Amino acid sequence: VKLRLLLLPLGMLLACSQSGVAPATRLSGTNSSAVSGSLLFVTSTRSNELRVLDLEPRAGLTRDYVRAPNPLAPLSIPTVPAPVELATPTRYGQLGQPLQGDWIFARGAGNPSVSIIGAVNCGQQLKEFARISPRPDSVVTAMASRLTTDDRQAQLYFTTFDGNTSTLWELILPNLPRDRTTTILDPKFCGNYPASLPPYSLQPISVWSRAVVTAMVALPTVQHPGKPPDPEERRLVIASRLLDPPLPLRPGMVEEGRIFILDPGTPGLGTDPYNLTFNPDTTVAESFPVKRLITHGNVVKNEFDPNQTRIIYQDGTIDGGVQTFIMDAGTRVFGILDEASCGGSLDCVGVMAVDLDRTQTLPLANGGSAIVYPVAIDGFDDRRDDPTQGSIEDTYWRPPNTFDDGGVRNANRMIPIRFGNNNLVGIVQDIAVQSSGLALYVTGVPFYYGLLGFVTISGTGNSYPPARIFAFDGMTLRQINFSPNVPQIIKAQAVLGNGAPATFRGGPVDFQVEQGIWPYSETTYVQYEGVVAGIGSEPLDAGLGNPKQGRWPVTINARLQIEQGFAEPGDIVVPVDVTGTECPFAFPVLDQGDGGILVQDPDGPVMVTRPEALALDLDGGSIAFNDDGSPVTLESCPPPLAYNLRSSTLARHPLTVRGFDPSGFFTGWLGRMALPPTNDESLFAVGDSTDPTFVRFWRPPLDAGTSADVLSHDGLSFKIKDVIQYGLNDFDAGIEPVLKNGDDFTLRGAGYTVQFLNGYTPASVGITSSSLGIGGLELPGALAVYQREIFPLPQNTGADRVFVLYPQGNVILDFSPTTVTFTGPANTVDIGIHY
Amino acid sequence: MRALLMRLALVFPLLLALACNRDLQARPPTNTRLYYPTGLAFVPPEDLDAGVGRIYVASSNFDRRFDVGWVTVLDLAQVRTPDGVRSLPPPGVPIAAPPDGGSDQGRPVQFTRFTPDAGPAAIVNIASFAGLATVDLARKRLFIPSRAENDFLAVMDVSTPADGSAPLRCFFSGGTDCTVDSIDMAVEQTPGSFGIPAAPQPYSVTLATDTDEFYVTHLRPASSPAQSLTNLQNFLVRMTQSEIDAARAAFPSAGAYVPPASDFTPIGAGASNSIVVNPGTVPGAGFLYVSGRAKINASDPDVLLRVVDRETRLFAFPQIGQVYAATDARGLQRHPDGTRVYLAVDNPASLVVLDVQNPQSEGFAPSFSLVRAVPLPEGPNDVQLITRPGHAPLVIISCSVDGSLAFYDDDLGQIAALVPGVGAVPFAIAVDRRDRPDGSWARLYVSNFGDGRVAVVDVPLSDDAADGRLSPRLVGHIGPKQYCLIATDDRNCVDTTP
Repeated sequence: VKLRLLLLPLGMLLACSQSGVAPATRLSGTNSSAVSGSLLFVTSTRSNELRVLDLEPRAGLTRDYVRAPNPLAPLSIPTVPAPVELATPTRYGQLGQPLQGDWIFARGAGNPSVSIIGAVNCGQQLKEFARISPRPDSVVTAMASRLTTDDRQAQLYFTTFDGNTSTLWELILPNLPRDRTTTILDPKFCGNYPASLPPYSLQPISVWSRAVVTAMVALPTVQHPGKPPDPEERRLVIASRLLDPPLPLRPGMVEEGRIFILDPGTPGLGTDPYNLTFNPDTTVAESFPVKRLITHGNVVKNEFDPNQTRIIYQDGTIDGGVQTFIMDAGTRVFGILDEASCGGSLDCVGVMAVDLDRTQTLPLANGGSAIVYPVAIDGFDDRRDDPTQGSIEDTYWRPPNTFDDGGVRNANRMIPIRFGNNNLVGIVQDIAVQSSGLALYVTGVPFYYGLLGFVTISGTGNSYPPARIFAFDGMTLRQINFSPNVPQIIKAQAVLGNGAPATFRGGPVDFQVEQGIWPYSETTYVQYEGVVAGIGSEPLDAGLGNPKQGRWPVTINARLQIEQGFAEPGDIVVPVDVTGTECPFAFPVLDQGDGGILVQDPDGPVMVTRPEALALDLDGGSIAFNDDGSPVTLESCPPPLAYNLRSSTLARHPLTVRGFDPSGFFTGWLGRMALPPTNDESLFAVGDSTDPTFVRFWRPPLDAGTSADVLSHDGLSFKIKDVIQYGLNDFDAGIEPVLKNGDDFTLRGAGYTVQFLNGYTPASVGITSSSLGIGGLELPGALAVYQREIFPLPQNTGADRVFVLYPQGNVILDFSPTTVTFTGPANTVDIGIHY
Repeated sequence: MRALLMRLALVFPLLLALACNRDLQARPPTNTRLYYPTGLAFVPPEDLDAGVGRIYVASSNFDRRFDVGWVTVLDLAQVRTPDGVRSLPPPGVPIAAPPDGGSDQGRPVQFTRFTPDAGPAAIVNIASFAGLATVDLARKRLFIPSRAENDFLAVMDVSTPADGSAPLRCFFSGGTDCTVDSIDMAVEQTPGSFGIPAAPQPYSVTLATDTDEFYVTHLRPASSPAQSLTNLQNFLVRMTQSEIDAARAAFPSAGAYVPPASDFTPIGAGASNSIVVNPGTVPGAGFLYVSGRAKINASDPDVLLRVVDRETRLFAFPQIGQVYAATDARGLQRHPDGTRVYLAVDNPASLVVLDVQNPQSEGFAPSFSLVRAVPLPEGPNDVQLITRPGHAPLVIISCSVDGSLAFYDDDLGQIAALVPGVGAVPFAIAVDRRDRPDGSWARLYVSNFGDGRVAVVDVPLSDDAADGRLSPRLVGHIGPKQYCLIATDDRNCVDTTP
């Protein structure tokens, strides 16, 4: 008894130190994470170890790292060198909750081994039990792990690659059943868990030549609410990249993937004869390689009656509401396309989904056809998820495979889930989905999504689009639109070059804008003598060219814009002096005979201008004269330090059209347009087939079966008329006549602005280093979802967490989809930070 | 008391005099070891089927223990184990077992002797703080810039003289002290000068394969007026072999060569690190890709990668940091077909793989899209690329803080192999490529800045070498270990006593 009394204060001391300030972990290389039970395992690649975050600390304490035997230090789990990927045996509960087993597996960069780590928060566990290297001369390329429904067996599948051949291995480990009403393991059961590696079986399953396995997912066993589980699922979905793909490759494809299903449990290794096709072109059978595959648990919709007591039983059945079963676990497979497989174009950027219960016959590039699992059909519409508008079914809606008349649907296959229209979008870093995930909708109430998905994209916090954590609807397969508006013009007015309102008559009419992906809303300027294609403030200080001889040097970017035809003969060069002020006089660029304006001088390309300045109006021979009758030349301007290239009425398309986002960020050169001919009109239109392109579509608002021919390819269009007719005898100028004249320097950049909303705001979690006071939050990477309860419920606000790793700052950040603001650029509320 | 003071008064000047004498004591470079080696170049043997060739190693004299830095030429056929018995075999050929009948048990063999009798190797003096070394095998020239004062680019003649002396002498003077004939890359940075154009702290040299041009990068931006830290600007220095040929002829009368202002092209503020030249018809032909380090001002465009038009010398910022928020870039390599570039970046340490989009019409600058970002061990620095028959090329990255070499395999899309324990602060990599009937091999020579040795790593490349498996192996080290003379954050530096 005395001894116990002595030990008690010691124990309290230990407990106290546990609750102290979190020790510095010196994480370095937060590249992968995995939730197991109530623990989050995180790689520290560069220190060859894992760290463990305890997600369920004692009441009142914040989440903290599991401590080492010396509790002043965080626990370190040494692993294979340079761990870059983790896997944990997983099954799904009847309502879709992910349930993990007793193991964590880690593979390293360029390493032939897999670390087997005890995943249970007990003294003898949370350490590496063994490293297995079935092929010491190979490298482990991918892993997937499954837990059987009785919790008694953990299966790890991993592939090795030896330079030519990929081998699939199966590792079977025992696992212990545990209480699944909580994610926390009761410490009183610690004694049941092994302190060293128990007997296991390891065997090769299959071999493929000249293919690299890039990703795998183990399909889960289905267990419906209130019913015994289906037979144990053994199938794997395996994504491989072919080193010798069948030639010719489909145009646009640089590399080809083969994504297929293999059943290691079937004699003769029954391989499903059908491959999965991940390709934005849903009319072909070939698949891009994918770099990551994930699947999901059951999708079950529970609609509780507010007047009844809400009960969810452990077997997944409910009282007090209506339960609808939507989709079996493992039906849908999400893949991140491998951005390296399409030569740098956008074709292989984004997330796509394939349903494994539907097939289709599609043509092959080299003739013939193949039956494949095609790209999944999406939710058919572009409606917003508005719970008050009676479209609550939307987020649980899965179109049936057939029409009412029995015909198989083959329409509205999903558009890749991506968050930008140009290569500035970077790459998709990671993906996670949660069944029946609750997200705080734009209306301020939590809202269920049949499959709530998240992706991270590379970039920076201030890139365009910014590197945020984007949410998507994994059931209806589209971005989640938080915009409260439909596309609409909110303001149209005439402006002067400095932005001040003007009183010009006329302006753009018949303005059309499609729902857009990016930016959310913008302002379009239609300008008289606007800066052409961003060719402004072009420096003259390098001594190139010879402005006095009318030879103006161009920079590399300006040259590209000019060669693309954005600048025209008749555009004017406006000298800019040392104070940044434009000269009142401007000099028209001469046609070089072929419609081009560039000349190759010995020291680089130049534009050649007429020596005489352009006149105020075009009637006097269009040459400006001094009072003494001599033509105005560059001598009349202050010594130029730079120049701007502006459009003018001498050019074929005198008006420039440019876009800006609401904060004034220049979003792009949209093009130029002609003046309306007398008693006629001129049209401006940009879309996915124009140059520059204006791709703004995120989802056509049309139903299945509609021909693509009727879809508009114009993202933005409007007209300018010579004469506008308001009433029977009420005519007015369609464009202010002064905007059709020669060079009036006071009006440069004047014209019309049209401010519109494109009706699209993707739900995304904005995170900034400055608002959270911690550096390195520029580059979100790996994702993991922690679901505490059997089914997410609104009253458990903040319980379910999404963990995001930032490899630049070596920071782990977590947020809850139920408390975060999906439109906020800088979330600070209920954000956890661990480093 | 007075007597004591008198005696002390006599002693003090003596002590002072001694102290002065100590300072005047010369500390010439040493020719039996390397010292903080950085730049490294490999020259293959006459007979590629048998010999081992020679390497040129720059000792950067990082802590200025010696008066100047130097370059050592090591005839690899002459290096020996400490017992003077075992020599370095050609790539892919196993090293003989120890003569006592024992085994190396897979450990790297230490070739501490530069010659069989532990004699010296030939050296020439260059300035301290050498950067990367580049050898022109056709013209037998070696270029090593140094970052110390004077911002010298040392050029050496590495042809084998008829008199049997060592194949290493200063290019312009023909002597062994190249600090007297090196090219000052930043004359304009002399206090009181206009300041630009200049290339302070020159770092690397890249040879064009289609012309006789070569390009020099430099780390520190030039300021104008000189030393004012205002108007910061970095320059791309383009020189030609014929230019230095003429300078060599004129050296006896004109002295050390000073490149004309027309050799310098402004490329914006921010250090340049490595250059890829795109010759012929590959995508990006006519353009240079220049990797760079951290930008200077937060509002500047990032200089992780720049594109420079070789003809017009116009430049563009592709702003790679906007799609992958790294802050610093180092080595750079291009896929042989020009469709892809590999850029080592830091913070986070990654190999960034970029696809080159080349507009069809001539003269358009290429643009880049990020297609992969592969995590690397800490401290990526040099990047080399080796083609392989029947496989995608291998990209090798020296990871200086981690002390490892990472092998990225484009077939795999991941790191295919990591060779840890290469040594302390592996810095530069030189490649010896052999295509023999029994298979293709590469041998990598890696300068270990922190331990003073050159690591030797053999890499099987073809299916008939090591059964086609990618199993690079550290086979040995050349040179005695220098130990860690200063405390660094390098975890491989365990012993700070020399």
